[in-house]
Amino acid sequence: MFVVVLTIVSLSVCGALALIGGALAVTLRDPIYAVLALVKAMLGLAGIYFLLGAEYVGAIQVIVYAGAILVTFLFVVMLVNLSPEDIPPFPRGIALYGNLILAVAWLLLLSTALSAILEIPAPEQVLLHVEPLPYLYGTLPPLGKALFTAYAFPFELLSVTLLIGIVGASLLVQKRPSS
Amino acid sequence: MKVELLYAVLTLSGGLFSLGLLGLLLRRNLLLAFLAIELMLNAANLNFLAFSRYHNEPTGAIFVLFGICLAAVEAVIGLGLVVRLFRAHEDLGFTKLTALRW
Repeated sequence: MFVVVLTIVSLSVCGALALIGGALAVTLRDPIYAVLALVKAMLGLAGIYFLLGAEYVGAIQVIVYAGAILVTFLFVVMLVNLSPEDIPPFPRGIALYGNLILAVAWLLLLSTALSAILEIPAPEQVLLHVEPLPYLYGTLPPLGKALFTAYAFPFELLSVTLLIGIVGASLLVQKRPSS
Repeated sequence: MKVELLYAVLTLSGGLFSLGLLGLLLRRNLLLAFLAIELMLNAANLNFLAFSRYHNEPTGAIFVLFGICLAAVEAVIGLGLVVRLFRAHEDLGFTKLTALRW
């Protein structure tokens, strides 16, 4: 029972963090604030990854996504010097629709949580049943084993893709030779 | 009985994806459209992990790791394009960037 309530509470908190961060990221006019709101959404998502038992991926989400990719976004926002005045205002009526989608999604999420909380009486009837995780689920050993056996070829292909990304980016941003 | 945790996470993922889609369609700026794409990629990753947990199959996380790597490559190329376009046009609005040449 305690685990179930804990799961519901952390799911609600992390879900709210992710949804609010996502909503702010697509509505805020200041690009720097929008990127920071997306960082918040990524941290909420990392919390949900932990909740789902995928601890390694949660750590990677914080380190690589929030720490590296979005900070690169932040650098580029400062490099191109976008100010809020450059961004056209969000359409009024549409912003309303966005809020509506957010509200409906959040209400559905909350209703699952609430129904689980309110129907406590018999433990058999608890809606949110959290099954114990299998041994070593979400830790590095099974992932590494699969990564270097069954998924070895895609893994190597991915390193080529990363190389293409590096070369492509350095080709794109270099100064044009004056012709 | 475990289905409900899956439902809650899938609902959350759907909400995030629709927010990202909304942002992609409505923001008239290249950089902010990229932000919305990142949000949509993350919603897809969340789906992978939810079903991985549902089937008790830890290797589902490998697809998320691949997805994060591809998101990094996509961000690097996209941001390179953004910098290049900004140097050429001093502007990143969709309304002004109508030709795919500089």
